[in-house]
Amino acid sequence: MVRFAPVLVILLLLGLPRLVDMAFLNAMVLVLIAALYAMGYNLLWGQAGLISFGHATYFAFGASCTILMMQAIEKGSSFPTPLLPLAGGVAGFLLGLVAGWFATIRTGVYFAMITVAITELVRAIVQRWDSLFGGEAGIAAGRPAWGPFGLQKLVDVYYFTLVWVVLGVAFLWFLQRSPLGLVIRGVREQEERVSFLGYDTHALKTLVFAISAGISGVAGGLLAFTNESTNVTLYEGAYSSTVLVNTVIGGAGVFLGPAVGAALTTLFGYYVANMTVYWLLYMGLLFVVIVLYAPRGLSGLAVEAMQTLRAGKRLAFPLILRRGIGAVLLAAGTILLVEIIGAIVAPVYWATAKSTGVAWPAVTVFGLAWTPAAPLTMATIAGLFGLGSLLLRGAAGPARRNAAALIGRLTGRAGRAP
Amino acid sequence: MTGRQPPSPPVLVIEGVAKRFGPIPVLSDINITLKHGERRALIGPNGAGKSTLFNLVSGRFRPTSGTILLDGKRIDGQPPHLLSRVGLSRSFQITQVFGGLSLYDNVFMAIMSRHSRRWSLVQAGPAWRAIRAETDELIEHAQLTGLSRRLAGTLAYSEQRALEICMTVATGPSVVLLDEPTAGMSRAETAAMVAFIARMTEGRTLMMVEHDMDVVFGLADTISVLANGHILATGTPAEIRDDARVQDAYLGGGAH
Repeated sequence: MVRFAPVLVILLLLGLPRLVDMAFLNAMVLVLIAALYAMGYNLLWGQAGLISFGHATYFAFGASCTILMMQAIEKGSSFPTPLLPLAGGVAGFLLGLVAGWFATIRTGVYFAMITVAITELVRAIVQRWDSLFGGEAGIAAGRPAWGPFGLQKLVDVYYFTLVWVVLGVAFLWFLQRSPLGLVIRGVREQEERVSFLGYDTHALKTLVFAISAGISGVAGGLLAFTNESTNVTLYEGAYSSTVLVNTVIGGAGVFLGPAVGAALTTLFGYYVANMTVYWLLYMGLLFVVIVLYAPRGLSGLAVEAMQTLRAGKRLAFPLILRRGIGAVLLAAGTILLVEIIGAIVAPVYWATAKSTGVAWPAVTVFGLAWTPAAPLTMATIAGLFGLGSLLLRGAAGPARRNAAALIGRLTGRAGRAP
Repeated sequence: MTGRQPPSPPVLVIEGVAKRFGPIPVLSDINITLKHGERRALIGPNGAGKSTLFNLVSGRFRPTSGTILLDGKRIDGQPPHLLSRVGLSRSFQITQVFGGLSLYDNVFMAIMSRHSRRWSLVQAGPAWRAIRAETDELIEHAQLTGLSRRLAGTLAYSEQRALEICMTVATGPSVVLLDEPTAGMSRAETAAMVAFIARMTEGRTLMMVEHDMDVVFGLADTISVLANGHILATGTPAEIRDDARVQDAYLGGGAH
């Protein structure tokens, strides 16, 4: 069953353009790109145990270099269009070689800090180098046609992206199972031992960093190819943290985990951003909940459940149901509270109040009109929080334990670093 | 620098080595020469500098002065991975196996390095057949075949220690350094470990740090006694046992 899952997913992805509308297909292109970016990122985290806080640099640099290559094609250079994302990949790889050499001199927190420093350095350079990178306005170039393929329609772009993402993920799978992949996991487990076995661990970590940056660069190249433009905002910290959040939500310990996380957050943005301006707040809360209750991510949860079933044990359905309902009630209460407060604090609300003469105009949440100061509204929110907490009793313990373990891991890492 | 070479050159030569940490001298004027196939134990009271000397030879630290030669080539101050490639291998007092990898993969990685296949993406061809065969052979020789698919982290402590020794010899070293190979073991486990080490390191030059006198007298054919950063005496186990200075400094001092 599990063995056929990848085949099913690929078939579904192949048939997707026939099943969905253009808007969703557009979102799926972004999902695929975010998935490849997260998978490349996780080569560094999941396999080598190095958590980078500055991977946007390689993603963005891949995008910039792909656009520059497309501009060169427009000016008459010949370069096969299907290989354009490779321009981003090579650019990311080369930049990763240099950055990785410096960053991997240290491990743990020190490594993370160096990756942040390098990101800021590159961003500062790119921002000032308008003639090449185009600054805020960015740079643009049209997708060059290739033989019979126009590559102008969204469906073409979707399949183009799909092929590259599948190739990238297949490469990572192949790398993970290769002898080199074994040594990389060895570095994560006992770096000193690996060096005493005759391996130059600094060179190894530099190479892994560069490959991870290269895959991220391919993903950036695909984004540039899709958008036919890019600008310096891509170099900002937000794109470094997004990929980290995706990896945590999906789970760094399972091969496709980061791709699952990337798909969830991208689609979350696609759907929820249309409904509320507070979608980033909700995503942040979701992130915290996952860190506290599923430290190995959603794919980690799935693996644990599968191991339980395989061991012949049954899942604790009544408990899962009770806590599930509790979580939904608590989430509903939170959303109601956030949306009502969010509406009240907006200047437009008071303008409405003044013009209509109503002291507390109603706010629509969940398709219902709520009067902010009304006892019914207050009671509903209190009731949702109260009942939700009641159903979730006993759930604080694991969260506290997970938080303590997380802090221990982070400080332990810092302490062990040379 | 090394003077006239004797007819059978020594494998490991430590010459006038000193180490200070800041203003604190830990070792001074250490001279040790190991012949091929010799089994040397370093003993001494706590704080004598055994671990420091061990770390100097294995490349963790750089000596403040003096030279260390392996097969006539200088190795002091070289990084661990280059030491491993010229034929020096060490085990760790605190077990350092790859807990998340299978026992087989732990040994496989060491054999890969010996065959200089350190960056490979594929494993095809005669070299890889040889690597796999040698891995099987070594695990068989260590009588760990039944455990080869188990994750190293799930093995019993004594099994992990055996794997540690296995990986140490798998890189094909001419000199093996053992750091308290029986630390934390019961009497029975220790006796089994001594026999295991003797079997696995046959024909290789050995230098070990050990507190347990039964292990020292069971494995070593020469002993150097370290006290206060100096070598107090070097000789056969019998000579060391009868040495009045050693008894004063160490054996009679109530340590054992």
